[in-house]
Amino acid sequence: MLLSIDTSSKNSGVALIRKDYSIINSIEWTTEYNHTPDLLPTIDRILTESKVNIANLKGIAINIGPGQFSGLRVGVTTAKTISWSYNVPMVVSNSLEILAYSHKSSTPTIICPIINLNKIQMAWSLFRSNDGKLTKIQEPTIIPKDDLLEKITSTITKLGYMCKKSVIICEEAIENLLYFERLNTIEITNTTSSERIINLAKIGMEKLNNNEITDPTSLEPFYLRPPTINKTK
Amino acid sequence: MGSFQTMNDFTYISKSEKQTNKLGQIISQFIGSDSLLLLRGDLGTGKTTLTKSIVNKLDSSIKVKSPTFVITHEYRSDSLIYHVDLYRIDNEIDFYDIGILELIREDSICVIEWPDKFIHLLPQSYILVDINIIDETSREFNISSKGDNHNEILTNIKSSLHK
Repeated sequence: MLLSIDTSSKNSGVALIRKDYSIINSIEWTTEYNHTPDLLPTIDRILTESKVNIANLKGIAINIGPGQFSGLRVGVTTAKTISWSYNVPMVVSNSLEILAYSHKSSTPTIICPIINLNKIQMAWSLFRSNDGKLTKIQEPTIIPKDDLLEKITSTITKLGYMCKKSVIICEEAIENLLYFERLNTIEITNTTSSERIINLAKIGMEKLNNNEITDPTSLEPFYLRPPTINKTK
Repeated sequence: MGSFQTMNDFTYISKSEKQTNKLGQIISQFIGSDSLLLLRGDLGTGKTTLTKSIVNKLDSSIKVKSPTFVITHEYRSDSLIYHVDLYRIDNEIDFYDIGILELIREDSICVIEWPDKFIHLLPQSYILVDINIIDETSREFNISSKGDNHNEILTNIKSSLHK
């Protein structure tokens, strides 16, 4: 049994999943930049409701970002603490992989997950899906909002000939969707927060079954920075 | 960073803390959630004093202190206000890693002291207040703006001050 935790945005969630990928329970809540007071009581609630002892967890999955600065710190710290104190193996995923997972497909598809980081920046990544598997073709990258439309259009045009279908997938934020509405050759969709926490649970269980374990002592939240910046002193 | 001119740029001379308070209170009337206010000026020019009068017009019970040491203060009243000081941040990596951009949002007022080094990394819509010392009690405030929302706020501040 694996516990998944996602506090990367105002839509937070926890879920419990069995080894056979069936979901035992999931809880979501909304918080505006204040994840701390809710996270531990919610973990306690899901474990109690499901009659699961924390020491019996076989894995813990955490979304390490990108996303909210404080939210990620709260989630990552909590997951690390549980993993280390109860000796529960830890597995990680990132916000973009979690979004893309909703569109795993049996037909060749290019999947472009996007998340809003702040007023001027977004994060995006690219996956190819085929035979129900996801393959990353571009690492998560930060991009100014003003450049995203052009960048995505050109990238998908370049890659699109290999695939029958392209999907741009966003969080719930409507502004992202409006941004792309004129690209009518591309399917634009979003995910719900309940989909995302269950995606994380499934990705976590896959990684646990593949023994892709992360060392909790060295794990840090995944914050993205623009690639071109230099340390100047 | 180079300065820029809009038609609304103006200068306000304050001869006392009382007159500085008046400026702060008028700024306070017109800013709202989604506002970004940048305060430039040497040590002791009164950036925190101006912030105090802006914030206390919104809620007089808030204790405004200089955020130089802690970098960010968060004040909650009817509005959510972030009071940031970038004086001690000296490179872009730290600027990004401490999550400053996340504080500039549609639902918050954000006041940033010492923005100079990072002004090009901020959203390009803001009110910029440059403060210069004239003498012990007098200050010169050069106020300008960028972006439609903030240009409109500046127009309102200007006409209200000159009434």
